[in-house]
Amino acid sequence: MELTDNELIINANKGDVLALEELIYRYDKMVLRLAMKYTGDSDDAKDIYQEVFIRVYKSLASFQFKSEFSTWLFRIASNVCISFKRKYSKQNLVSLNDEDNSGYISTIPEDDVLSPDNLVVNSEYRNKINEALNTLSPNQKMSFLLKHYEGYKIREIAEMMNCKEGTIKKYLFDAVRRLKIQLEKSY
Amino acid sequence: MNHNECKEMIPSYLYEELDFEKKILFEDHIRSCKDCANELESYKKLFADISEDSKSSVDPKLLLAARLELRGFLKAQQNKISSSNNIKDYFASFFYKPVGLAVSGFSLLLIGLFIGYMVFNSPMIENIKTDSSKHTHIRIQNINFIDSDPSDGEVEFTFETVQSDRMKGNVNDTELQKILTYAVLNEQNPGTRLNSINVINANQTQKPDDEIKSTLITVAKFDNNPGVRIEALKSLNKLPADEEIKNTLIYVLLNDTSAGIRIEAINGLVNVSKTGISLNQKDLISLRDKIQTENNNYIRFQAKNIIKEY
Repeated sequence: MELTDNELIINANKGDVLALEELIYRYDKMVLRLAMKYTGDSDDAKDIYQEVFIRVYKSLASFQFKSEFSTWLFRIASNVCISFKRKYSKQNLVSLNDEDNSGYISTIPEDDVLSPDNLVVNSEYRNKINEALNTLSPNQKMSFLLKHYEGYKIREIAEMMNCKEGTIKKYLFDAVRRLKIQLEKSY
Repeated sequence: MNHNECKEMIPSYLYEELDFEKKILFEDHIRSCKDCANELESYKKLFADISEDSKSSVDPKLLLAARLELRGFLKAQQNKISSSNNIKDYFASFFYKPVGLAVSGFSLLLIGLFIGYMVFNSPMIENIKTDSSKHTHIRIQNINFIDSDPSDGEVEFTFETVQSDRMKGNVNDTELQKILTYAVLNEQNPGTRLNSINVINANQTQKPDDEIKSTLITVAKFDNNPGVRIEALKSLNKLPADEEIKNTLIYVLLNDTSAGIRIEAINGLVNVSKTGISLNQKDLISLRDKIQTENNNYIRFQAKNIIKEY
């Protein structure tokens, strides 16, 4: 029977490395995807991934079991992403010709026959979304990614980002308005 | 409700954050106002596009590289912990109370009985004994206690059963390379890790695959043995330069405590910069910072030379 997150944490804290790995592998794709979407750069995403899980490893013993592990993990991930961005103040991370953006692959079902033209349109549109996302403030972007890309509720995002729900709503509403304006420019 | 109020409310409506009364007013206005209805539709299209984009997944190669790197870090941490525990245990052994000795003795007896049972009763062992052509045998190792307190009549521990085997083959053989790659990352003995890197290195006839490269990167960054780290770095310096190798060289230059390894890293970085792999703003900032803190003259000199080119 599959162990719960909390059981894996207890075992990991007793020195069971396999339990720690299983716990990490349950969520690491989501963390890497979030980091990739946040930075738009595969090397930066990998650095964030390392930093997040090194922090998880170092502070797992202090996990209080008061919230879900995933909420705690994404709280760390959002902090690392936001501080990473601030640290290097990198702008214009996404370029239409930037090969570093190849960290994403399309998940279009294999039986959907797409013409090369459609693939180009799909890829270009994805780049436009990435460019539009890069015009958001770090907090707006993180709220938006956690809501729309990871599917969390506003209450959960507030817990992860250590904000009030009202603040997250404001981030989201402002983000949506700005994204709409940015994407309309590129239509 | 006027147009501006309605348009302002669209995001709240889509996130279902309007209270009942405002929602009724909003929907009434939308039904009677084509302009606002169009605006709502364009927001819905945005949500649909984002929903489609959110189905994208991460490149498996990127995930593998990230996992290998993390695994290297965790392994290095485990090694540090086990070394410090060994030292603590050594000193603590002088101060054990008689009760502690009795409990430990009882625990060891239980383990001995269990291992004896496993070794002499396991059908797997019998099968191997009768199949001499494989030259294999099984041993038990890495017994780790989860619950070592026998006072409640039960103990719990994990252990590994290891089946030994022998392999002879061409250094270019894929299967052989895979096993050696695993050894570079996981083998406890640094001599074995070093030998494995040397054999991988000897495979000059074909380009190493991504897994080998990722393993060398992990080892160059995180292996706890400096001899192994420098060999991994030398192997990386022989590979065709790319962004990943450049980033590894910078990481080692900034973080390794051994001056010899940092010299290998800066030499590698000089070669990488000659191959057309350019350093970005973040790399240059890191190099400038390094010049301020580095106490080795040669490394400072080479770092300055690299920066001068930009």
